[in-house]
Amino acid sequence: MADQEQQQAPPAPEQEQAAPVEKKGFGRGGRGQRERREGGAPRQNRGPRRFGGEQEWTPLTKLGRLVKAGKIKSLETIFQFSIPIKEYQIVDHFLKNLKEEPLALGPVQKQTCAGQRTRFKAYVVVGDNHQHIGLGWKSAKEVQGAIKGAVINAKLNLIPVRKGYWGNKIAQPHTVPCKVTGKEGSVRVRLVPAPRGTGIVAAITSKKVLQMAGIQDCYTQSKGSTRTRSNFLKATFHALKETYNFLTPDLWGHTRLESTPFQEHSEYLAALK
Amino acid sequence: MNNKEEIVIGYLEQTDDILNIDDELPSYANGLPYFLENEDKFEPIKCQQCGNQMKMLLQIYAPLNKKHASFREIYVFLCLNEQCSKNNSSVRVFRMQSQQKPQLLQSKNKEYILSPQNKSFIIDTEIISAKENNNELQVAEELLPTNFDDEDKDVDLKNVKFDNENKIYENYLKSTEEKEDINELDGLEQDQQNNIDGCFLIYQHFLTQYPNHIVRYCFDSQSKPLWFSDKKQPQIDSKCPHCKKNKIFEFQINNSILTYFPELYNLEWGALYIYSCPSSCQVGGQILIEETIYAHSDEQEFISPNLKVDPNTKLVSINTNKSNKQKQQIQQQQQQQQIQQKIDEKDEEDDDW
Repeated sequence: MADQEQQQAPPAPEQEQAAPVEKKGFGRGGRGQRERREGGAPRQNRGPRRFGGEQEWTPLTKLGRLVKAGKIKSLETIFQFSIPIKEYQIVDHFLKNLKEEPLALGPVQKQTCAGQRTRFKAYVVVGDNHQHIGLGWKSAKEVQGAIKGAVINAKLNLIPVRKGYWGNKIAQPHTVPCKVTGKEGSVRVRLVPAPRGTGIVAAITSKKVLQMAGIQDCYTQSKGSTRTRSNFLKATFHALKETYNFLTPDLWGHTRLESTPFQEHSEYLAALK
Repeated sequence: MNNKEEIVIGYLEQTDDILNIDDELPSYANGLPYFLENEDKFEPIKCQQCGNQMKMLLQIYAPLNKKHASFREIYVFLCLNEQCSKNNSSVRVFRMQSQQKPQLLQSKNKEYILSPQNKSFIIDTEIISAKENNNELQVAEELLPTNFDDEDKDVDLKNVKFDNENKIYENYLKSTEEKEDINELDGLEQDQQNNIDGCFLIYQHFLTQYPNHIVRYCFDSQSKPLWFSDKKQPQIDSKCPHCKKNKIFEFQINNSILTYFPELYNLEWGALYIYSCPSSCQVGGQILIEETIYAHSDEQEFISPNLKVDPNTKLVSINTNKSNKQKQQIQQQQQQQQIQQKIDEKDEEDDDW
């Protein structure tokens, strides 16, 4: 475990002679060597550092702390109050069986004075096949690095998807609630409700996104240069985002004003004191 | 954000005996502060917003190579009042220094203790070389979806595990579904993501690599702090009142310290950045010299000061060289200020007459 440590003092037991050991703490300089007293507590061994290994998550934002403490019951509370999610571990905490799938992996090039610099760009879609979807992208020198960054990006961009019925309201919702359209660049993607059993009628790229969002039946229409995959993917993603922005008659009723999780938790804390 | 000097990071470690440590002066958190002079020489430190006494978060022993600052301690104080916590003036930082080895006098004011149920912690240090720091920065920029990844860099990716990603990539290559042929992926090489906070991802990366570290110290005019977020990054222009030089960044306290003290859970800031005079001047004849501190929070309701104006207008201590008469005058002036601030004390003022 002592491979990649940066310890300034020998980890040998300090109960040996009180020889002055060069040690650095805070501050610049100091007056040369500081004497080491006997019986000082031995320094704790810091383990080797690994990126992305199994390390416990210490939350850094208020929302993260509430999630880790178990005060927030589901992701929908976070979506209801439009609280930005800054830590991707929050998403991991709620959605345990999230699937990650790269949709487009390819090289992109940039012209420099020393020739061309090639990197790999990855577009990854993250979803639970039920009602959450996220789209992320990243370019990096290695493919695996790009996938890693794109997965994190996708988790931070997670959205809920609203489903509805085409006709009779029996069994679970299976299609988009209404006709929605999304656009990016020159690409326009329109999602239209379809009867049960139709399946997803779409191009390969957007079919994958709609499958992972949990939509079972859908007609699509697209326009513009759909060969630009990045714009096509983003347009489909924006269309799915629109499902919860659309006001339908069943949402006309009055809703009770609820307090945000931060307010609820601060009252809980105040009650403790 | 590349640093040239090495960075010292500090961890909290529980200990029963604070004074039996290797350094001459203690660096520790949560307890009665150890001042270098008798605390009767100055007033107890109060919050500028509400007037309550502040609690000491930690004190750090940070000597410099200069003669007058060879024994130098920095104290950080917090106000735990709910209304104050949304404001930058709920934190204050002070510096005490001396030439000869001073006598450590523990304060008797129990109000200074932050969390009475917890024990005290000493601050254990570790050094990160500039090279390792810069490499970690580049790894973070390479692998995390920050928006800073345009430059060419030589990244050392030895420590990174790509197990999951290898599986995903192999599944993608093996999958028999119809895939379009990609020779060159179109679309922009650099797609900006508007709602991703790149600085926060880098900050989080450092905090997972060096887990639970509290303090990040790099007292150099070239060094830049590790910002908590890319919103509300300040422009610190405050100057030392004595030598008129610009204050430089000394150290930052990360909010991983809140996991140790559950009383601090409703505090809004993400990190505290302390700026101090580079030559550590002795201002006037004061014992406690106030320095600039910036509480960084990305929430809009958090009131941050306009740091272009020098905030060091209110000083805490009383000048010990003045005569008794002048001391009385100063005390009377301070009392009159309190009358203006607090209407409740009107009755007591009447008694004084």
